[in-house]
Amino acid sequence: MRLPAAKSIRLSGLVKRYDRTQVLHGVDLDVRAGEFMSMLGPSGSGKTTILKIIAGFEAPDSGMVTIGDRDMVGVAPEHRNIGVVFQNYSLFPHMSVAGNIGFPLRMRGMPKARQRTRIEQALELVALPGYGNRMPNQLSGGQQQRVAIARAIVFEPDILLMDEPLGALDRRLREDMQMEIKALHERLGITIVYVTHDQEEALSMSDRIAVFNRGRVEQTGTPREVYRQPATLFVADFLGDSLHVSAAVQDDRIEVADVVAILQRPPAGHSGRVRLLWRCDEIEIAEPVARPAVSGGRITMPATVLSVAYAGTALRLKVQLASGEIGTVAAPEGGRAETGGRIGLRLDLARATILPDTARRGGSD
Amino acid sequence: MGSRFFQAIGVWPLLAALAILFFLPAAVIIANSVTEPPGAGLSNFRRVLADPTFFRFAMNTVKIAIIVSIFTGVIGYFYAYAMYRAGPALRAFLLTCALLPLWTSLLVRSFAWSVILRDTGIVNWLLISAGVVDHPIGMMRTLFAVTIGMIQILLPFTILPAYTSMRRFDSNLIAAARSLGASPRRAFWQVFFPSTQVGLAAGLVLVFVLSLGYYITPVLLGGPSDQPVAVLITAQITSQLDWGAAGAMSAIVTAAVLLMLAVGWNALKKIFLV
Repeated sequence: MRLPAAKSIRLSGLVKRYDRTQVLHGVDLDVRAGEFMSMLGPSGSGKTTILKIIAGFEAPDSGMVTIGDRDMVGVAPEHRNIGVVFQNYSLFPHMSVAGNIGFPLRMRGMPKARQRTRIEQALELVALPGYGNRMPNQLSGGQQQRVAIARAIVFEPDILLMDEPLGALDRRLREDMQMEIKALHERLGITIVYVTHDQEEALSMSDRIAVFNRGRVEQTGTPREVYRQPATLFVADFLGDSLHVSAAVQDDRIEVADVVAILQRPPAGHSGRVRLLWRCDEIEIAEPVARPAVSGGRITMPATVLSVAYAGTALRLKVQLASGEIGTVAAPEGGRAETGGRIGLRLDLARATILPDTARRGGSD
Repeated sequence: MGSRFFQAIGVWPLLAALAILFFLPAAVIIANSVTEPPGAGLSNFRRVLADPTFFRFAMNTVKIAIIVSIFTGVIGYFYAYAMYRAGPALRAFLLTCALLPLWTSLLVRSFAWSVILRDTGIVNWLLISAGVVDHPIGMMRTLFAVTIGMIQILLPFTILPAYTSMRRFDSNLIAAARSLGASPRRAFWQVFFPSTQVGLAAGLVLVFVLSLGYYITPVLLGGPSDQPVAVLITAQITSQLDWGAAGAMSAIVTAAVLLMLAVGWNALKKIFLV
């Protein structure tokens, strides 16, 4: 099965409120044709609302939705030619697998014989050949989701929307399905918008990620960009473990925890109070020190280990600095860190991400 | 004492009351069909089944039950759909209106209909005042009066099961159908209705079964040709003193009811036992 040319999506200035709660504060987002774009954020951040607006289930209070070069305002869902995969599969319980997959074809008045061929092709695509006569309640969760995906692509939609499609599956199955969806994307070349609150899922599957917080897009970028160069503290915290400390910048001078260092490359556009952020794997564990010290562009700081968690390939240490700031540091598995122990943290200023010091934190609604 | 006491005795007092006050008398009546007069055997059944009067009353009963089922089914399903689509306040109002008939005595409701429908009743007064008709339309003692009275009384029995099945409906399925190319109308008929028709079926079985045993409403509102089997059974006992024939008729009606319940068992189970 080969889909017609993939289409791009352009969202501009989307505003949506329910009663008194504003859920979208002017969202702009461009999804390129054929791109796998994840919308990542906590629940209540507006990502599912965006999906509903793209699908046409909800209308924005203001703003534009353009798919390809077609303005979608006022177009009913059934006229948008968009495939949607829901978290709870949403298979029609009174129809067989073939009945479900054939539903969009029947709605389009396709001749019976062609329907049968297309249904078979779709079932093969999701590795369920011969399952046409089963009823949905005879299938496992993973199989139901494959049928839902087959149903959403069988009619050759312009784009495919997926709303936390793997949320109900257990971890092992979820990882298999991630690979399959990724493979499907590469094979069909279709534009996919994928809603998830699982940062690992977004990082491993996406071409680009849009990170949502409180009805706004905080950052859009490749998985590597949003992980290694987060634009805000919210993005940094939502996409993994890190340590960030308060600092003051003036030109190339930076003051951290009462010690002053000189930056190799003066940060553009930052001065005054900032936060320096290191991902947990960018921090080196050193011998305990009494007070912060600078040498060769690195600061060594004393810290207390609050807790140690075993994370498979490494340990995750929750550490507290003398300033009271708390962060997470990765340590080699054989390390001798223990709860309550004192350690030194070696922080390389060249690897630090400099972020505006905002108290604003995202969270669930 | 207290709740532990009630927990310990459970539903047994209720079942005991039901056994003594309902099952026992019903069993005695039905037993009469083979014991009255002594040594009757199946003669009462042969007599009743060959009796054109019984046949006529049975046909009346089935005819009324079918008409009432069709109307309560259609009205009840769409009333339930209105409740399903309504906001919380309107839904509460509609639910109260739907339940109201259950909170009033059957006798009072049937009399109320006679006040509305009789020649000097509200409907005729309105029609005459508006100049639509010169003389009152005779609505009392007609099939129309019987069915409208029974429909109003039996509506909750289709509304509530249908509403139950709608509440269980996953509204994402409509969104899914729309995204797959179905218009609102097709999404309703091809997805919503098939998913909720089990509630309608359960309600229809209840209404049909209840209609088979209706007595007061047809007596008060119906004419001589609209009388159901229940009236004939009463007549057998009160004026003919023919307990054997009454027992045989009761047994036949009971068998019909059990048959209907068996046919509709799947639907009833899905709505009431889940």
